[in-house]
Amino acid sequence: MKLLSRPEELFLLAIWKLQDNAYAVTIRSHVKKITGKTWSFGATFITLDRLVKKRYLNSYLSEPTQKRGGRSKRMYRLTRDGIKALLEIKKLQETMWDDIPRLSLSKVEE
Amino acid sequence: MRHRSTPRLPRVSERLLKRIFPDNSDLTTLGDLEEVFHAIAEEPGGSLRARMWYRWQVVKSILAYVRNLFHWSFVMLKNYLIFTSRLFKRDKFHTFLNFFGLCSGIACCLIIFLFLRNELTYDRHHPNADRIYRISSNYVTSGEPLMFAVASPALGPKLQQEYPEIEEVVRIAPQPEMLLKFEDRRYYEEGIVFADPSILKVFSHPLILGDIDTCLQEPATIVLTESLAEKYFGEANPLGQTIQIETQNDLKITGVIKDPPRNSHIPIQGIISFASWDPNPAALEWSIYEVFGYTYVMFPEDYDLAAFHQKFPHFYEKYIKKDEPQYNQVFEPILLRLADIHYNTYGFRGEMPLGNRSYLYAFSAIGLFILLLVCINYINLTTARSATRAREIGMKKVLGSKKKYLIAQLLGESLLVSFAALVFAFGAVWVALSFAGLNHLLDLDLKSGMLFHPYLILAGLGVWVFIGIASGAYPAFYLSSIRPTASLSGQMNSGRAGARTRRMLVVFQFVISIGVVIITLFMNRQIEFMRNQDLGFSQENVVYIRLRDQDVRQKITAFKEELIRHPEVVSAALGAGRPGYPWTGLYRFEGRDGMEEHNFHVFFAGYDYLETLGLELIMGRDFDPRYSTDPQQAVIVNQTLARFMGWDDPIGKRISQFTNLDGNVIGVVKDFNFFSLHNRIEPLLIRMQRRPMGGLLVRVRSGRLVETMEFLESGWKTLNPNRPFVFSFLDQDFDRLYDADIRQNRLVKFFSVICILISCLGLLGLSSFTSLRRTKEVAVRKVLGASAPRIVLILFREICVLVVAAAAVAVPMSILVIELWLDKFAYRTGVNPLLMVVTAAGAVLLSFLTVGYHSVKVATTNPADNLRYE
Repeated sequence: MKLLSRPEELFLLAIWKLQDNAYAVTIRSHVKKITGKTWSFGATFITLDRLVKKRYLNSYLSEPTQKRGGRSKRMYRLTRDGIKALLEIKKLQETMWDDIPRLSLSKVEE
Repeated sequence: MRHRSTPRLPRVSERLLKRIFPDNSDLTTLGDLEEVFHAIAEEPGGSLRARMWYRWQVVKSILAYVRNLFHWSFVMLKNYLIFTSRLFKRDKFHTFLNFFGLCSGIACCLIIFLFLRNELTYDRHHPNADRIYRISSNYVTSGEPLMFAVASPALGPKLQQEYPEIEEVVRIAPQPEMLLKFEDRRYYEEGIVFADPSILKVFSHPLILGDIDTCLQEPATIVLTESLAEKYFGEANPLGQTIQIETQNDLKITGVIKDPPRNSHIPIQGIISFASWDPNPAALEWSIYEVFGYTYVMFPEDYDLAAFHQKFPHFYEKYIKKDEPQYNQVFEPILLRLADIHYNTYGFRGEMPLGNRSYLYAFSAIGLFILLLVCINYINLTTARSATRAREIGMKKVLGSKKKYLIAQLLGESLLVSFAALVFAFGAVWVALSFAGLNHLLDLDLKSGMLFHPYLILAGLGVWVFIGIASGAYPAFYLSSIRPTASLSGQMNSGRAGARTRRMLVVFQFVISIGVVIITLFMNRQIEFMRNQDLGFSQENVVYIRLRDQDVRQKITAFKEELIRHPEVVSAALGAGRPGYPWTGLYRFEGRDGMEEHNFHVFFAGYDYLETLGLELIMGRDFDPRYSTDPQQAVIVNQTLARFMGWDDPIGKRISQFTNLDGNVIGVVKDFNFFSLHNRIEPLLIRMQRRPMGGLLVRVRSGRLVETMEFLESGWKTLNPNRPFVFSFLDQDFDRLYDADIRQNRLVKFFSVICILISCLGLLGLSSFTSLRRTKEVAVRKVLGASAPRIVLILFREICVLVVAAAAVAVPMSILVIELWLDKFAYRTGVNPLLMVVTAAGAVLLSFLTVGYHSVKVATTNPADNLRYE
């Protein structure tokens, strides 16, 4: 199993969180809210496309809405593989964290 | 509903984005962007920011789009270019041959395109060309048509009265060369016409100086072309100046037009107002049966010609019917669209020199042939070189290149080379036209500026694609299908590969070249034959001096008497119409059942006419001053006419014409060719002129020609001080009838040389490969005792077989073409087998010389050099 990269993980989590309202604009603003960094549309789409290609995501078209000049949204939903990948990386991280001495800034000698 | 303050999306940007997201057919991406746009716009003061943000997205998208588009092709292209340039560097000789062949082929095609363009756009430069028609006259006598390109001067104005829909009528009467004089500048000019003022409105002759509405209204006014105005007036303003025409008429210059393009069926240098002909319009109230100049009408757009013909019977009743009995002919108008005039095949009398479509087809065919030859060269050289390339291709295949890419690469290579050749050819043709006098060499009038006309650029690109693909396709498919294992393990026998195809192509090349050469030589022979043929009269040493002025004609008889007394002058005669340039007229002849009417050629002769031309009288007598009735009544006919009329005893038969001739046949001359040998001898009558007209024919001795001409000139000067002494020799004038043939021959000759050159280039390249491939074989042969000549022979044998085979195919094919071409000549040379053999032998010899260099080189090398490394 390939490990997820951090952006991929962020995006998958964002989509899981947004549930039925996950499309490029909301995903991007959600990730931005959490990380405090601006993601360009290009970066957003590249990540989303890659996840779709890896079959972690499904995409479908919504009904057209007035707000978007009568255009549809491309909605994203996690697949089974996507959820599995998320769980796996979460487990991996937990295992890693569990198995190490307490980590605190004060312990590091400057 | 959108909030009122919400700004609209930047329109242009949106459209651009739509273009560059073609893969997102649902346009969700655009939707996303629009949503964010509105989100930003809703913030305070965000509307401008939103717009800027949106545009920035567009810029970024475009950049990414472009990068994507080219990135990979650039990488590969660079790679291909490196391969190609290395290949070229390694083999400069063949690359040069290839390139040079392509260049000359494309250059020839460009010249042919220019030529065709020039020929096919006759008269098309007039914006109204589609609705201008020339009205020609057809006079039908008992079913027999007699068609004149010209019409009565009364026809045009009357048509305009009866047909209100006709927008304009123009009468144009071209004149034979006219003497123009301003101060000390005095020249004969061609292309002077009389024309109605509407000429400037119907045809496009842009005025540089003068007023379009008034400049040709008055009598005694003339409009000159720019170049003519400059010739007489230099830098000075010609407007209002007076120029003298034909020694007696002073014309005021009221306008200057641009020089018209030369591809116009009526060349125009100067336009004299029609009113100058005769200021009284009634003077031109001729009957419809008396023709004068050309008449053109301009119809409204989309006019249906059927409507014209429908109304014509009414017109006929009103204006023409009354004259019909007198002339015994029914008049029919023939309307010909302006653009169709130059290539019409009606055979009108009084027509300007016309073009011949079959020559255009012939040149297109030659152009195509040259293209094929060039492509074959490329194919042969490329496949012959395949040995060198096989390893490259094999390696590429091993490294995973697909066949598709290899084909693209090899095609790309040929496209690249031919594109370079195209650019080079454009340059070469431009230089040849501008500086090197190609026009002069080929007797053409092509403008180098035309080369950069969109039509020609397009044609050039077409040639490029054709050559690129036709020559690249076979090598591309052939080379890309090389098996990598074979090529890399060195098992490929390079020379054998595609050898059969190459041989076939070489044969094809030589079929074309030999064929074209045979045809050229035949054209040559036919033209020479016609020029040297005994025409039945003596054309040499006969000087023709045209008489133009009435007062000179009064004094001419005395002048003639004076000439005859000179020891170098054999005889002299007045005459209108001379061999090559007969007149035509409708006469009534005594037939078996009363008088018959026929339209035959006529010469108007003075005394001694037969003697001066060396015509042989076989029956009856010559015109004789002792018979006072001769000028009114005497007619001499040729044998053909007598035969045509079925006269067993022609002497005394009656011949008449309206009121101005009522006479008898007094003699019969032996048939002679008074036309070019395209035509058979037709019936001809020679009648006496009642007053001097036409010109003076003087037969002189050939010995001291220069002194004789000086004598004639000094005599002329006292006779007619106002005019320069202009003369021509009868044989030269007659030769001019073959000008068109000679010109075509010259062009064909030029292209046939190119054909041979290209074929030999190909052969040269090919032979260098074959001899290279056989170096070892030759070395072994030499070791075993073969002599150098023997080896050259062995090497040459292969090519020789091909050329001989080609000759065997080319000879019958060219005979067919020649027969077709000869069809238009009434007198022709036979097909000469010797010429064929000589051409074929010449081709073999030429190929031997071409191949010889490499063969001899291989045959004379020391075998040790070639076998050392075994």
